[in-house]
Amino acid sequence: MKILLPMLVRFKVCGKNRGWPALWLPVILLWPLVFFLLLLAFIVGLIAVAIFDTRSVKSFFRLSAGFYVALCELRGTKIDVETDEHHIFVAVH
Amino acid sequence: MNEESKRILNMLADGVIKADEAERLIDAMGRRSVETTTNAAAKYLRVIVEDDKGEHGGRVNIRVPLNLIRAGVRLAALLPQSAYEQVNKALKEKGMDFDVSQIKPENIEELVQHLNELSVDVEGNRGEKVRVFCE
Repeated sequence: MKILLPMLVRFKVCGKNRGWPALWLPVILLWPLVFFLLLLAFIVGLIAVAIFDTRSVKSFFRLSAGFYVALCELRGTKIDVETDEHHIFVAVH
Repeated sequence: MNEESKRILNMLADGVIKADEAERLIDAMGRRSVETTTNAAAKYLRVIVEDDKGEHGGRVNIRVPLNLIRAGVRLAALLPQSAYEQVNKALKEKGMDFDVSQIKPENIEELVQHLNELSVDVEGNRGEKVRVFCE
């Protein structure tokens, strides 16, 4: 089971006859911002759940952990679709 | 030494099979255990669609980590009942009468294990090829 978020996303959307290079997005640079936003959302969600429905706190923790694990497991995904007019390529490392 | 090897050697000792037959059986056993080990280590589900003749110019190459499928199902299992109802309603509108809440993580684990042995290889009339397999 992976515990680190994706570090790099290669991304390319272009027309068939246009030679656009693939973009290399260093997602790792966004980690501090992502962690901050996730932490903020987690705290706000926890407070909301604790106020409105205390029984759901455990489910909220499990859901948050599950969402994080699903994001981490995106690493290794590759989608490459080419038609007559377009070419879409996404790879998550 | 496992049970199957012992059985083959006992058959050889009893004269039921000859030495070259025993060697072939042991080789076949070895190949099968390598394949099982390879399939058990499969990490990705691959879907490849190619058009060799190039008439339609289409190509699809998708690789999805099997762990992502597992994580997605575990996540779906944590959704509240109201979310299941909305998903089931949306599926029904598309013609799929399927209850998403019946999918349990342990069922998907078994399905993913069997996916390791899945291999689909289809060739269409116009030369397009569809392959679905695990690696």
